[in-house]
Amino acid sequence: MRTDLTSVAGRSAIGRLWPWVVKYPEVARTNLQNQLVYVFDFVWRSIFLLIIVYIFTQLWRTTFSSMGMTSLNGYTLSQILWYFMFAETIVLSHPALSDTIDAEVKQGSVAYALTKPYNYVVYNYCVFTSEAAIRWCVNLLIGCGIVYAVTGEVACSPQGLPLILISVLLSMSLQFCLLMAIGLTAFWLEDTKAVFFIYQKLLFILGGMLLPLEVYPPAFQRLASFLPLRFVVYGPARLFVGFDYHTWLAFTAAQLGWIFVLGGLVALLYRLGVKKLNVNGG
Amino acid sequence: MRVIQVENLAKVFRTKQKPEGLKGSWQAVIRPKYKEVAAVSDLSFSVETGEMLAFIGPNGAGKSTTIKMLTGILHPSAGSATVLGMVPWRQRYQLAFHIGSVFGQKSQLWYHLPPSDTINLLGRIYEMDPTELRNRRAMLVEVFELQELMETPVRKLSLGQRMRCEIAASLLHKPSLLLLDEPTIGLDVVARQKIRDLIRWMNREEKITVFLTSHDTGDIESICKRAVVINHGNIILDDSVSTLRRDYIKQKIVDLKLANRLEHFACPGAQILKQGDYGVKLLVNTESDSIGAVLEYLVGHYPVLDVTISNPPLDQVIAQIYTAKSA
Repeated sequence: MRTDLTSVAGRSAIGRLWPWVVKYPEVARTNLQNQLVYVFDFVWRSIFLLIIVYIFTQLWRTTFSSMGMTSLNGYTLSQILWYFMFAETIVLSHPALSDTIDAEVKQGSVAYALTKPYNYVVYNYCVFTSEAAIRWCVNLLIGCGIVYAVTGEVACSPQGLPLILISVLLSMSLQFCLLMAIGLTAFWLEDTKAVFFIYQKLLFILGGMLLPLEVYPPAFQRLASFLPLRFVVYGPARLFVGFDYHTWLAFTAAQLGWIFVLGGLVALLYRLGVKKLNVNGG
Repeated sequence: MRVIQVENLAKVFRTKQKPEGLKGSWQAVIRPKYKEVAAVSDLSFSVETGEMLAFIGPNGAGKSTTIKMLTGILHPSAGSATVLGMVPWRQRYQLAFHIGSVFGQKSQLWYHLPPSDTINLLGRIYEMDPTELRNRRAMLVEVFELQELMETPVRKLSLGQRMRCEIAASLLHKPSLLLLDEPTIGLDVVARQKIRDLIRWMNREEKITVFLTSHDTGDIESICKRAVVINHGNIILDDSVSTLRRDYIKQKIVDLKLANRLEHFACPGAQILKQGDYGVKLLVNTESDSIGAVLEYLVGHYPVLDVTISNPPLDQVIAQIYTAKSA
């Protein structure tokens, strides 16, 4: 605790950074503890995963057999199903951050957060990623079980798993930036739910949740290539079913680039939002 | 030393106007019109170290806006303020280390976790040394009698227990200034008294300056020595609570519950505000009549089941201040 009334500027660079090293991981740790209260809720919610994976399994089986295909744009039936499951586990692990931020802005709770010595955006990042991580682990365990039971084979690349984990973490960070940006628009918009609805549908299609992007027509693929959405879902899922180091490197660089750009956008929106709060009241 | 120094502080908000009807909605989109609203105008006061100040006023008086400026959330439109020698809106982050806040309607405790987890997190957030955190936590647990509550999830605590934990959590980092916004809202008489005792104890032992906003005149009377009353963004009274009590809180409200059905009721020295079959609400002017004598008469003449004595609502007290000032 700071007992003197001096400014942070008077401390050394390490002294200024140290609190970040201990403060924000503690936020994540506390939220992990909080999420463990809901772990049975996650398991229960995974029934949805079971249903949707079963439906898509039947759809893809019918499609492959009726068309007499052994692969679709390089994906075998088994790979398509493992891809779909992995993509679903990522999407289903994301907490409803934009709704939370929207509510905090509307109810004025964001103002109370400003009375505590932490950065509101970083605090929410820790809360988001810790919650997403635990949800994803539960989803993945259940998802792998379901798909293995259905296909009887493992169509993923175990050799790249540690690096795929990094991809998933970066995809969560990217998703955080996108959802936080949507949530922060509540400073200007009456309701951000419509924006989130459109974003979610775009993520399903252009993010590659429903289908790997290679399956889409070239125009769609081109459109998706301009957007960060494919690095939220498609990137990690694609690496999961077909890992190669060069693709991972390219995806990781793109993820980091988008996080940098969108992180900057979030910081800007937050600054402008707090300024607006100052003009119009809490 | 002055903890708070406010000079000619003012805050004007810009609010969007929308004329009625569909046409008005389109107008608001195409050519929005804004109205300036003065939430706080020309506010000047100071608070000394260890003082317990009640900052009161009706809803919309400018209390929250003032607190938000003093904590650095809002920038003033005019005037200046320093809190603990810092300009809040320029040094908000640094100032946050020296301020504790309790907002009665906004919990800082994690709902599904026991208070001990939130306290440990706050220790990290306030960058406390682990040994200091342990000692401080142990002290607060003892003083606030939280031994049995520390491992219970917050959702299972009563409102009074939760509020004790809230205040203990806000004192963890040894703040020099404690901002309390409706700390006893929704609490029963016993819990309310406990909270008031604890706030007084902390002020006495640690010389914490207390800045209280409350609609409960009981909070103000039992915690604070001085009261600043604001309305429409202006200070209408800045005086000792004893003066406020003597000059403006001259009435008590007596709520009586009776065992038998009431046929005829009369009580010398009390004015009937409301009368039901088994209860009556009375107003006693303590300047002219003794509350003791009224109670004695009631107990002697009626089958009293229960009796509650309360102060008149703050809005009524403020209305009296206005009447007295304009007279």
